[in-house]
Amino acid sequence: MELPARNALAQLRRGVLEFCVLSLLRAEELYPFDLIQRLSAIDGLVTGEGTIYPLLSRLRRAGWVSTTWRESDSGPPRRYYSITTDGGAALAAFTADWRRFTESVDRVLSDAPGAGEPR
Amino acid sequence: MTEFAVQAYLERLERAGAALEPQRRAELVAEITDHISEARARGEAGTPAEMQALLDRLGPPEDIVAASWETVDSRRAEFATGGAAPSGPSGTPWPVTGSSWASPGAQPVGAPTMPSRWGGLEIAAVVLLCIGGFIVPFVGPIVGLILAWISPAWSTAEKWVATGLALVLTMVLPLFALLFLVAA
Repeated sequence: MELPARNALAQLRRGVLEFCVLSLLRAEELYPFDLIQRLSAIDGLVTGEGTIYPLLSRLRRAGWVSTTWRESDSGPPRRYYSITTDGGAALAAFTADWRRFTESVDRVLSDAPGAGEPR
Repeated sequence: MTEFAVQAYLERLERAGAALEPQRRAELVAEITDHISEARARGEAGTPAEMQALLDRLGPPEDIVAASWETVDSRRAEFATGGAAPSGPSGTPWPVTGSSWASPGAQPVGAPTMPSRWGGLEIAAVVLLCIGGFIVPFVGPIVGLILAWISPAWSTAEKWVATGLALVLTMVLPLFALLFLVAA
């Protein structure tokens, strides 16, 4: 049985990860293998790397990313992902909401007496 | 040995994804296959231990398929569950509703539930398909078929099977009966 707090974190991660992907794609176009390596290098973001593929599929169908296939010198052809205008707008909206949300949560957590102390 | 591990992993993924739409499953298997090939081409999965580590990082195939269900159009899933979130602590106020970014499949969170709940639509479809022909010949089953195609509870393949069966039973058999009568 998973701890409720961990479960909450897993749900947060699920909701937030796609915007982390969009944010990485805003800097440059990437293909999934590289994208996954970058995400995995950030602590606590990705649990199962394979789940990034369904996530990318969701972003494609939402029209938030577009893809182009290119041959690779080694290995299979690569599908490069780049962010669309819609994706950029969604990311901007999320970023504003996220800032407000985390500030509020931080404020509540730090106000609570005994916050952060293990019982 | 690494080949065997990869084969076993991909087969497990195929099995786990059996309920996905064939196209989605094929795409997913191809993407994971490419991921493994890419790691090999980079020399990152040369030894059995490295390959096992790569597969471990990818995670259980069942988890990947579960993430695909989250991906299924959220409206479709909501429709099938009558707008109610699936069981579990998924009634979170997150994501903020009404925000422009909260659109693609941010829900349902919680257990991966197949959008296969039965409602009035599904029952009406089946009843009309089964006995609709006796109520209003020809038209009854056709209405049933339309309802079945509207319903999100069945896959496209299942709908085609239903359509085929309905056509055979309601159109072809009476036609044969008619031919027999004429011949007699």
